Amino acid sequence: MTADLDALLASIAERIAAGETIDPATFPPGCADDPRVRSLLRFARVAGALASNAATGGNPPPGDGGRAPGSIGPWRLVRLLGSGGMGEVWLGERADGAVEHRVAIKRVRGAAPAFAARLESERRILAKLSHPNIARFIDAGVDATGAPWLALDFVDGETLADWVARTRPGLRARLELFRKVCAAVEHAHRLLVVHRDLKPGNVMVDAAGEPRLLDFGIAKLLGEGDGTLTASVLTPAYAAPEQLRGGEVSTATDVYALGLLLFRLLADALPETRREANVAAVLSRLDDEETQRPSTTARASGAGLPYAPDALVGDLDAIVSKAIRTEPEQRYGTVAELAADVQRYLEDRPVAARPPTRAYLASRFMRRHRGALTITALALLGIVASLGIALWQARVAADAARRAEAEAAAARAQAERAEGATSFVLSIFRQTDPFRRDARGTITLQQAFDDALARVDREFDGQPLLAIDLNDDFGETLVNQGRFHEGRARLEKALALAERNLPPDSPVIAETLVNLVSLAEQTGTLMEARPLAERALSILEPLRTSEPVLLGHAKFLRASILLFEGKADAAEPVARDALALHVANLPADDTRLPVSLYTLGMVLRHQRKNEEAKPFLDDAVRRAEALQGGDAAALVYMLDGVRGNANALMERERERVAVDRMLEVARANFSGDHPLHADALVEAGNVRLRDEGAAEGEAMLREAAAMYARLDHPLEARAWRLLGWGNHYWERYDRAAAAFDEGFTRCASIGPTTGECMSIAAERVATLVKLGRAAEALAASEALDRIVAASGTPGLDTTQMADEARAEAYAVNGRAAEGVVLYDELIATYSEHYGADSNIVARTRKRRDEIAAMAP
Amino acid sequence: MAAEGEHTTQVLVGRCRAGDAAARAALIARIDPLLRRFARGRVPQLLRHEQDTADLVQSTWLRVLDRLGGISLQGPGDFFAYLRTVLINALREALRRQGASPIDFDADAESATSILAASNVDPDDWLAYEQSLAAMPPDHRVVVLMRYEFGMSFAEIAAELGETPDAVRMRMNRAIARIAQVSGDG
Repeated sequence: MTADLDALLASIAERIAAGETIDPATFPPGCADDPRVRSLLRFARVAGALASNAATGGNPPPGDGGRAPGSIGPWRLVRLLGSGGMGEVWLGERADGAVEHRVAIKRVRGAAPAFAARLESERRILAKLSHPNIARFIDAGVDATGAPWLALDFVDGETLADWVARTRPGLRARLELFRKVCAAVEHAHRLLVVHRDLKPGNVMVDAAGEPRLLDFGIAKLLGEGDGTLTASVLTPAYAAPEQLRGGEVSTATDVYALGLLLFRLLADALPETRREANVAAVLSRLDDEETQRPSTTARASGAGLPYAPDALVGDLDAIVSKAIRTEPEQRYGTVAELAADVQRYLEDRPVAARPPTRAYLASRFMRRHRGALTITALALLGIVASLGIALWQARVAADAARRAEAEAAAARAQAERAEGATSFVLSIFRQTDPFRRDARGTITLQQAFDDALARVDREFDGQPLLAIDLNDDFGETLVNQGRFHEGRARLEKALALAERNLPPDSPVIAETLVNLVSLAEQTGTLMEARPLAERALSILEPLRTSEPVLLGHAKFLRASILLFEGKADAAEPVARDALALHVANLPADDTRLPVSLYTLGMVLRHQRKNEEAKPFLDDAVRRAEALQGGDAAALVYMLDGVRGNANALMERERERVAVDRMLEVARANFSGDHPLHADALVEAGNVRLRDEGAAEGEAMLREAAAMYARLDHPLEARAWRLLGWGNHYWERYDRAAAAFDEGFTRCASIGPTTGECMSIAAERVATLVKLGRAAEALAASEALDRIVAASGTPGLDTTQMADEARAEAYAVNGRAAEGVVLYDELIATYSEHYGADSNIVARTRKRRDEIAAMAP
Repeated sequence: MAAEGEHTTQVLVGRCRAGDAAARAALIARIDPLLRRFARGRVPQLLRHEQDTADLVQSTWLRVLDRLGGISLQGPGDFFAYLRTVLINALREALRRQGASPIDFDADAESATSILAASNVDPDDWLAYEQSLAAMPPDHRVVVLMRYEFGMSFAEIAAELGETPDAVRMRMNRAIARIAQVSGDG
């Protein structure tokens, strides 16, 4: 018994020392009354109280002789969650115990009028907001001393920073969480609320991993006063330049803070320029801010991220960089656009933050369609990739042409509908429209346009129909000027007015809807505008005879949406119908016709119906040349469409003609360093090298690579790849290896994990194998593996591409048996994905057998 | 700063006495959070607000730094025992000034004159704790103070005493086990 008791005492002492809770009920009977046990328990109680007091900020538990502030309204204060200079936050429960509900109660401490005002403003703002990712406003009131208090949903969780540190989420999980935070901020912006203090500490993540946005204490309603804040209220590390400089705050301010939040999420650290806690230090380094990249920071901090810092190179760097531009107007126009770009990244679609070059789009396309990507199928790659590119070009060209033509249409509609005041106002702004401007155009007209814009709001209050027209037309013009955000606001206003004043099936509503969808297409948010397109179509379908042209536009947009959804078969009849409407109803000299012909041609090409696409594409070019002249810039896109079509049909002569015309038009319009000029050079060079092995082609590809390099343009990789590939094709393996080596080196800065660069890394192996440079081939194959791993998303074909390269490298190193093993695995995988009798399986099996024959 | 952080408090105190301003800054950076934890753990009812704690800690610092030259420090943990004494005195004074304090403190004559018990602890428990502490040999007392009153981890204590964390844990076990023996003997 004594021995047992001694053992118990030692165990209790040890557990107290370790900080454990001691429950006397677990002791053997009678032991709890032993004086030695009792004195240990006393000690344990004191030690426990000291520790818990220190940890909870020194607040006694509820019901402690009235020393706690007790209750406030219907809430019992349970414990202090945190406090600042002027206020404190308490955990509260329903005092009546009727409903199980916990809240966070914010209250003023002592006389702090400034904080009381913040609380009041937060209450007003939160009462407007209702979003699953924003801590809900629950209750508010004034306490016995007249001080305001505010109760919010209590989020039982941890701050974003703690959540990341504890759970070490992967890249995708971080981005998905970020999108939810964006959704919350976007909701606030829709209600004209700017948060102004977005930072990881104001985002709580609950046990289910759901983020909740907190602290609208210094949020502001747009249009109200107090546009600036004293620096003392700001969190300098996350404050936008305009906040630090005391400038005007707008939704762009939150875009900036979200950019830094994303930076912190991706790199596990803030940019170097943001690590000082004081305003002066941050201000002094603002100019360096735009040069900061998450990938660089992630590499430097070596934070043990669960993904390679290289995964951030390219798209994610670009997204962050666009969000944290110093000038607000250069950032994403809305939080929705930022979130949409993150979504596009997650779906391997091209992001808006990067220049929409063809190479870049090709790399996105390749990532989404990895099934087609194998070393010996690389010849196919050019076609597959160019389909994706061409499709994009179709949209861009259609947009460009439609923009120009929508002008004329708008003007005609305007002439019919608007009189007097409308014409007057239009006459003011016509000079600011880049597509209408004549020789008299000067900068003061922009001011005139902006004045007129302001007058629309003032002067047409009692004339809703005119106001609808003006907002719609001004919106279109703003969009054409690239002022997407303002344009959208105008179009949305026109829509709201039309919905209030016109029957729901009015074509005026449909026109505004079509304009909004078209805007979404230009800003890369087409899929979000899908419901608008559906609505426009439902209005316009019955108006087939009275509004055929508008219906045609709506149908082309619908076809675009279907293509985005991967439903090319469904897109075709829609686009054909749209074209039929335009052919029957537009005059033969209308410049919208070639665009419509071209769009249908590209839809057909997307379905690989190249024979059918051919007449539409050729007709489009012919008509555009006739109507707009042989040098019209839009022809670059249309001729590229023909080029790709001819390539697919193996019509070398037609392809050559299209390529040369494309280069001619590009040189006429973009004579210096310009991505479109470089694009045309690449195509012209590629055709020359591929068809003739011509030195001229090599020179053009080198010229293009140099131009891209000067433009800091990722498409440079494509020029190197085609240069290597062309030489490989002509069995000039030494030259091919040199080009691939040079491209591979350049890819270190272009972004090794982009599609073009991964292809270069793979083709380099194949060329070295051909040259019999066995050791180098194996090393190159290992380098490829590292790149595939760093890409963070090794999919079916990138992995297979790397395996195939490795198998070839083994074979040339006299390790044919290992190569055969890899090929057997590849055959199994391909059979599963493409069917046992597919070409790719047959080709792979043939190669496997060749290698097997090499084995001793 | 990082280099300073590697020195024990005893070394820093020695340098402060020699007039090293950097050591003084390092000492404050090291000890300030510990003082706050100590104050909150001891009298949460008094220090409901950060500002009150800050004021108390501030006045403690003034006293400590003022007398740094005169205090006698034999062993590595002695400085903490000294800090505890100064803090308790400062707390007593704060209690006496309670009427002038903006905080809502329930005047309680007994608590003001007694041994400054945390209000959520049974006074008898508290008395027993203080008595146990007083009866401990100094090398035991100092680990208990550092652990429970200053809220230091075994690793932090080990760094101060120049021992391993496990040695500190063992010493803590012995110190607590001894409480039982002392009460058993009595």
